[in-house]
Amino acid sequence: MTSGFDILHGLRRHKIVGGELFLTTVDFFVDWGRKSSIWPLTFGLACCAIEMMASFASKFDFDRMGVFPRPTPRQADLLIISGTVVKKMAPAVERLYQEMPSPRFVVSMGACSNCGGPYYDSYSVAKGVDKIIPVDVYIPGCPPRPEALYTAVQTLQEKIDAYWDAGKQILKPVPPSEEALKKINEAAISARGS
Amino acid sequence: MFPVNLVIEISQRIHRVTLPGEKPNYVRDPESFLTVLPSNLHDVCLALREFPDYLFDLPLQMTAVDFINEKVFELVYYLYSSKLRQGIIVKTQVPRTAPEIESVSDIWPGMDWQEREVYDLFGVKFRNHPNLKRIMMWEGFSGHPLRKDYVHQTDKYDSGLEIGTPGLDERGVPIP
Repeated sequence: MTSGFDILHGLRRHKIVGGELFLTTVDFFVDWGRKSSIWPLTFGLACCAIEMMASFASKFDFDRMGVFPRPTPRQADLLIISGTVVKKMAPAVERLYQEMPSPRFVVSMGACSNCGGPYYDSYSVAKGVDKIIPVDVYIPGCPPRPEALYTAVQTLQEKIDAYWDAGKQILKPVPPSEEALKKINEAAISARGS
Repeated sequence: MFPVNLVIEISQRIHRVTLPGEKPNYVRDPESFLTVLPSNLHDVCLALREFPDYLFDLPLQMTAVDFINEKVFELVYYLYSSKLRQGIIVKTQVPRTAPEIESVSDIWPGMDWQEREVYDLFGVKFRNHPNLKRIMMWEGFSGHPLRKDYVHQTDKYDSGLEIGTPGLDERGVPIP
């Protein structure tokens, strides 16, 4: 299986009477759906959230990748930490992460949520969101442009592929036998009624 | 109400932006200063709001300055009159060892949260405040972080290498 949007890499095509037969595995199909509809939570913390909002708006239009903000953590797959995580907000961030259904992913956007950024020596700023929740993709920048967030989404899609392939044997679609294809063809012919 | 001689004293001490009979001068930044004793602050503030020459009905903000060498906190009140279009800065000083002053939130309800912020970050106590508790820092936080002698206690969100952490010098290098 490969990364990107090319679904045909995971398919085997067989010509039968009246059309084509596509075979795939459930794992590939679930992964394809999962990486093509990464729904982030509508959640912004500081000035990086402005760039995130611009990403969702018409000029950059992340909806074309299936990235579409959801208003509740119960429906969200992705938590974009866009801004400074202060210590007063950190328990709320942790709780939002725990309220998201698994599989869930976290993108740390900008210098503040990566490591504290310009507020590293502050008494009130957490030194990185990875002190409280695991992070999948870090984006540098202060703030990162929407193009950087675009790259993060692409990286996350590649990571979803690699993540689900890593723990199990990669299943390839098994080609049907000649007898099975013959039966399928007969069934197709009888279904057409000719 | 405020005593009359207090108004006379105020009028002698402050530089008025707009004199009586003049056309209103549209001043953006208030440049008049008034320094008062902390025991007089509440009466002076009441006079500044009520007296027809002042009518400071809009509390812009208040803040505090930590003069650690002089061992005082200076409280700074920014006031503005929306009717006369003039501004003033009222300053007073309280000792650092026992910082306590009368609240003016009964005169201007807008000063309520401002005083809570000063209480939170500087530890100045305001008498007769309706709800004096922390507003910026979370519950259970100890200390007042904008004091110059504040020492930060490292918690689980810190990496332990910040400037000001006990055991590090001002460049963040561990003290041997």
